[in-house]
Amino acid sequence: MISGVLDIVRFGDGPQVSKAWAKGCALTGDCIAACPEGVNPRFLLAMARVKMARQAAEPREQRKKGVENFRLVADGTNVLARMQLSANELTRLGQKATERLESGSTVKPGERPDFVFYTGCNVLKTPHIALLALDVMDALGVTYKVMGGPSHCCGIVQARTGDLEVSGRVATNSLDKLAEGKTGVISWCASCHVQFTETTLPTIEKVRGSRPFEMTPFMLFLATRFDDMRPLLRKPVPLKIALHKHPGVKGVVEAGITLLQMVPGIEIVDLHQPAVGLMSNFLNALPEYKRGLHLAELEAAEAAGVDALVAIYHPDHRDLCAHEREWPFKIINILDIVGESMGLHHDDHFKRLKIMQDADAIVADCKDLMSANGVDPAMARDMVVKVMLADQPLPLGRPAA
Amino acid sequence: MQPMTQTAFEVALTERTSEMLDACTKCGKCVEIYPVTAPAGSATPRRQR
Ligand code: SF4
Repeated sequence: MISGVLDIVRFGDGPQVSKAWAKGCALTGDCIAACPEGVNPRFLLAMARVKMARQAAEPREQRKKGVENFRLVADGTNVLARMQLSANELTRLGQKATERLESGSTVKPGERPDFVFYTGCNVLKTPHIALLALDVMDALGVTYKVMGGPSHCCGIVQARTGDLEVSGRVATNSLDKLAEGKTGVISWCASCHVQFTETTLPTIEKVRGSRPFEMTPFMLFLATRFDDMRPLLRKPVPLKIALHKHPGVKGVVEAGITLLQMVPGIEIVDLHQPAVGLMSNFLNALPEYKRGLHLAELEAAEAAGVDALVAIYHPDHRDLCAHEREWPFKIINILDIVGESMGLHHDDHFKRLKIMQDADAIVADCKDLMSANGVDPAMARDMVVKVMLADQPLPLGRPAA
Repeated sequence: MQPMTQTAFEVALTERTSEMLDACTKCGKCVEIYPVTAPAGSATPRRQR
């Protein structure tokens, strides 16, 4: 199988089984630690996918598809964020500059923040998660500038269509902006993290002779501040919970478990489910498998009698949250729990809206914010259908027992 | 910080990839650890974690 992957990377073609491996790779990342030669097989599989995309389409078609896919991500994040957030909240997330506040920055103009907090694009669809992350950093006394959204693209969308030229260009542009933090970049999104740390940063390092910054996943950043977090986790949160796990960025799940264990009142149950992939959306190439995983996890959570199934990453929340309407437990993000214990809260509008399952009702519900933020209702409806409601790998409606 | 051209990025990416291709001994350890038994389509989890 691996010889075939090497052939694909070298020559653009290889055996079917190797192509299937490259396509189905969910970026779990166990292969990296398993390799005795210090090769990054996950990176080679990514390059194999790029080669396959280049073989499948002419360069013009690759670029066109990349632009279309980027536009869908950009429209989805811009519109869904503006259906849920006030102007001040958009500003906090670096999505809107006001006269009063430089967009996304907690330091005065001209000062360098401790960190750049890189949201990536898609967490803006579930913005309460990103706002809670900012609140936690505020509570820790960290200064930061938020960067993310389509204007700070990591380049993964274009790489997936084989357009490495545009992918490299947008990633390099974003990377030069991200270099503003004194102590580096804290990343929220695992996909952006892998794209930057395994493709962009090492490649730029090869060209420039040095790395512009180090990138640390948010959970691993918190792990460096657990001693400061402990006294802030004051309020008991009496919940029996299970954690939805994706181990693609090493240490994140473990840090999440430690953090949850620090919250008074939390009881964690292990559902003994497979932990696969970088985030939920990285299993999209294996739809049946993914549906099976989600159903098995929901059934296990019910059997264990948990109060809440808790995810770390935003795509997991998007995929799972609407199931809350028909299972006897809540589906929440880890920062909902951490925030509650710290006295921090942001309403999860995404879940509330998605559970409605009615595009017209969802748009009507958001009309005030849409009007304040200049969102066209027809565009909003389109994005609700194509982005919010379409993210439903396991259909709603419990299967008959 | 030195500005770079896209050509330089793509060239460096190709070089990095070639270095990894050359370093791979085809020992297969990365395949053994793959957490999904059948690739694409009829996949089932290989192991509990
Ligand atoms: S484990 Fe490393 S050296 Fe062995 S086949 Fe995989 S990539 Fe090559």
